[in-house]
Amino acid sequence: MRDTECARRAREVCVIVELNNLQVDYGANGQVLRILDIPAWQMSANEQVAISGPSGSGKSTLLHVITGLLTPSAGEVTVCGQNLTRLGEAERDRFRARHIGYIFQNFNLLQGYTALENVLMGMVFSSHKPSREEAAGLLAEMGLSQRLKHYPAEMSIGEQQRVAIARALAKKPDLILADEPTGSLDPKHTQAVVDKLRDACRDHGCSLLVVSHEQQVIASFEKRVAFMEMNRAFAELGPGAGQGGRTA
Amino acid sequence: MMMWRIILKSLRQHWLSTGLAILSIALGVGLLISVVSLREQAHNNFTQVGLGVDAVLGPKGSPLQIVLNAIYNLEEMPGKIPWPYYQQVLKNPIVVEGIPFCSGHSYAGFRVNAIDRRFLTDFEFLPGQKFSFNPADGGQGRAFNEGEEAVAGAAAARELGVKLGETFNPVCGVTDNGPVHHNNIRFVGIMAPTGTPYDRAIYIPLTTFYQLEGHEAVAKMAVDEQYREISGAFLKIKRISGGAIHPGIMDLKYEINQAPTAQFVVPNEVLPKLFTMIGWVDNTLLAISIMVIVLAGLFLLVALASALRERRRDIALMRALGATRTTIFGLVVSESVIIAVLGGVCGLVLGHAIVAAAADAVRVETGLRFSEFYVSQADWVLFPAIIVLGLLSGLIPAVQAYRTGVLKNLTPIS
Repeated sequence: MRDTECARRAREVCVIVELNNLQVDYGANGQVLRILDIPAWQMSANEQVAISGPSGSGKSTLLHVITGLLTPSAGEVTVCGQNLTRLGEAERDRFRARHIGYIFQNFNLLQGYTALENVLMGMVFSSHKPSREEAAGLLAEMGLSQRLKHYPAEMSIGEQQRVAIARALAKKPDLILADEPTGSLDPKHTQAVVDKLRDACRDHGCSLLVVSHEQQVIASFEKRVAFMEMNRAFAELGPGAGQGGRTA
Repeated sequence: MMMWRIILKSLRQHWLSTGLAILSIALGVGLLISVVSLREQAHNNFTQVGLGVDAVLGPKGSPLQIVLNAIYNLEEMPGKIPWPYYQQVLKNPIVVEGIPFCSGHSYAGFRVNAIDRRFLTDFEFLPGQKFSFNPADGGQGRAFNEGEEAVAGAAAARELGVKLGETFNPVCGVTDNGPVHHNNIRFVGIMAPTGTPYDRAIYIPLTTFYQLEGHEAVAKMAVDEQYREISGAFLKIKRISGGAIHPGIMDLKYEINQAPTAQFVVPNEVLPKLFTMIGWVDNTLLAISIMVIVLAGLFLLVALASALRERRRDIALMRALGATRTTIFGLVVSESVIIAVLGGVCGLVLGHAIVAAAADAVRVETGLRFSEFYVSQADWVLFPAIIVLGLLSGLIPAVQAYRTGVLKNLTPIS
């Protein structure tokens, strides 16, 4: 397992994500809409957590806040011991490049780039030197060693999502965030991708935070968090539980 | 994958707009390079140490007309000057040497100039360079002696297919429909190419000119210097230390120009006036070239901005992967500069190719020497200017890319 400064720091504090009094508001048509309202929540280093909730409940918004792509209206977001709300935009970009791997809802592979180039792209903006060998190795781990030079349009949806996982791992992040990673897959492929993602994160020593509305995905995780209703209640659930439980 | 690979990838993805932008810049730059190069070389050709002539002693009339006739085989001399007056000028202590000539005859479109033999043996058409008949230099035969002998300049010989021993009949006047002199003048030499207007004429001895059939009225000029007239004379003026022309030239010029008989013309003073007269032509060409380059810059801007619309998602994705706004800005500006530099390189090649093509045509028509390898001012300023063009053209698209919203162009907010 790697031992980056961030991972070391995260183990020392045993917390990789910490939210305090987090609020995200959107203004539309003169009205302010509160999208997120989370009093307090923590995720430990090397943990794998699934967040569930209905569409529009603020799941993706939470991930955007944790990546630093979105600045919260109030509260604090600390990742790897770094309070993101105190960083400027460029510093947050650089922090994201070094520490956070992101798997998007719609795969979001670069269409003009091959599978190998997409994975390399995950390294380019991080502090790691891009390595074709490492990128090819990650794709081989995902069972895509025959697809290195294929473009996204030439691959199945499941394969594309595995490329996205390889790209997220390529920068050797401390935390991987996955937003509906199986949204377009059938149940058989859904389980395969989730298993692959969890195994890869374990092997690479990354914490994993997955957002999904699919029961099959949520059920795969021991630790689960649910948005009980529209953004207002955020609850941690025990293993094997459904979308109910105690309020955080 | 390094940044430059991302840039090249993007250029390849938009190969059509990239190619057209490179082409348009290449056309503008090529035009500019060729116009400036031809302009500078033409200027150099017309002012290179007066092509060996410090001054021309000629009849009263237009100084420009005298220079064009005496050196460039163009126009006609406005009159004659008496030989005794020429001899008097030669006595001036700052006049080192004089080479008298008579113009006004032609053959098959080429001027036939009667000139002193020293023109062929002693005259330096460029510093240290004399006419050669040496086959190693591309010449043939020898300089003419007295009698019905002639030598041909290299371009005239090539175009007329002159062979040694052949004869020709000169025509009175500078057009082909003048009266023909029935003297069979024999070519005894072909001058090696000099790349000067001297290549485009045929030369005969001065005394032969007076004795041409039909010149009975002036025949006595051949033997009696008292009555002899000439069209003019090339004058070589004394030098002072450092190679500069003796300052007494101004007094000599004043003295001759005050007299009613002749005038003293310094080619290096007169020829710049020619460029002033025709300057508007190359200024217009220069302005057109600059406009083409500016339009090419605008085209580049539009091409980048339009490609950007297709790339918003890619840019948002790169931002999400950790690229800063500044990195994205740099990528777009770099693309613009690379396109501009590629256009500049193609334009550089194109411009010099245009000069090469024009040089051949001009050499055939005028005997003036142009080189495609000449490095003009435009060559020196090309790359700094083209980088500025790339930066300016890329600025607006880069700002648009800089401001591309990540979340708006990726996933919808759930």
